[in-house]
Amino acid sequence: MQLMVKRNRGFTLVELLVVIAIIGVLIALLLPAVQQAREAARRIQCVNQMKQIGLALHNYHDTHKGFPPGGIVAEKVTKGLGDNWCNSGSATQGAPWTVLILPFMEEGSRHDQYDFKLPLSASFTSQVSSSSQNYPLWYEQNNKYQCPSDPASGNGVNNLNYFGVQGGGSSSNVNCSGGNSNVFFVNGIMFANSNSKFRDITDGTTKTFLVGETKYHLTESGTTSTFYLSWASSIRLGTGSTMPHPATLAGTYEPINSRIPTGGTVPASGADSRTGYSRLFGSFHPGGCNMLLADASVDFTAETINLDIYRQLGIRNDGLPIGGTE
Amino acid sequence: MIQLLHRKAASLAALLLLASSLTVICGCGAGDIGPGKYQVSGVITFQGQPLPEGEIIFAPDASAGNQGPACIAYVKDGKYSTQYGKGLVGGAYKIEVEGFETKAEVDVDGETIVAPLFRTFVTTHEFPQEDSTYDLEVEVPKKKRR
Repeated sequence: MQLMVKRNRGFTLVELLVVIAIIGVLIALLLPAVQQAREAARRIQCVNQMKQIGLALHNYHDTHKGFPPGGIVAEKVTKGLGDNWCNSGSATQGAPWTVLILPFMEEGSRHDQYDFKLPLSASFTSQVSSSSQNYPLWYEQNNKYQCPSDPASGNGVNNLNYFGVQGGGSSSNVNCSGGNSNVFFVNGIMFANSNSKFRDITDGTTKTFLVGETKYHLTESGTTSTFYLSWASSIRLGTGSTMPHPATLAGTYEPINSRIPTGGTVPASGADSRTGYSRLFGSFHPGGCNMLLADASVDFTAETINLDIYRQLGIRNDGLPIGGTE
Repeated sequence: MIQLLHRKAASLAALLLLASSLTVICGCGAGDIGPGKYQVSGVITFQGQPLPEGEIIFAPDASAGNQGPACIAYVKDGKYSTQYGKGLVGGAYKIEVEGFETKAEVDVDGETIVAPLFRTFVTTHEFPQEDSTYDLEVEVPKKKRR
């Protein structure tokens, strides 16, 4: 009996090893989860902001009996393929969808500061007159359009992480392309001077992109050029020697995340002079980007998605089953 | 005797736990880099000259029964290669080529003027299931000004 008591007084080496091994296993399971927790939280906030944009667009539709135009331009937008309308017109145009839905995002006071009879600035170099009341609004930050995963978000940067989907498809679906590699589509929901209603989305609202996430919007710090954009940029039309810019719109043309980013806080190495931000979507989340569908649901779309499917999801009326070819 | 057996069993359990925890910590080695693992590079010419700038979209040809992620290769001075980890899966591919030339001058806004050289050139090619090289010549009937 005395012997037993003596033996139980301490732990043996084997017992200690067992406990350490169990703790090791638990830490090994926990560690990767902890490292991704912050990015997971940012991603959730990013998705929630996108859902707010979706609700705002739906409320805009209920009030104005149609989705907002992707951007208002003074020139006539022809709907053919390979057209030339985007290459002639003034460098500053009317309000983009990001400004038009402000009252539905509890940003009514900001909306009231605009004079919608006057043009809005398009880029840092295509500004309206500094006496215009629209002039200072271009420089302001709007955190409702900033995804927290983007290093540029906050810090007073006027960047935009959510592009309206103006359409998509291959090069044969491009409506107008300028000198630069930016493209205009008219087969989506929000494009230049669009007035799409739910009934125009004949592919179904659950199978058509409305808004997509981006890391390609040109920010002051992310590009090597002085040419950069704001969340409140109007569409910029070219004049032959200048190039047209959809500014707040993009199409499902190139695979997600395939280009070198032009957003963020530092110019990415290898970034080139072609600023084809309107050709694709992307995000700072690993593996893909969030896409808002026309029913206001958000879907994380993998960058490995089949290109044909991805292109069809950008088109509101291709009449094809998902993954079907012509 | 029974005590000794207990000890043996306990140390065996400890060893097993240690081994499994080490496996979990170290993982299963450097993983696969994803579906598009075959790199392709080559030379691209336009009107007999190396294409100065451009980009190539490689998309699996669904009409030929091939599926997989699409990818982009940038062209610089006639040479291109796909990015590491974002390559091809092999098989039939649809290839879309765009070419640009960057002008020396900048426009009134200080943006570099980039002009397209031709309308998008589309072709198909069957790629092997390994790293490969593929040279192509852009055939455009006539240079179109836009």
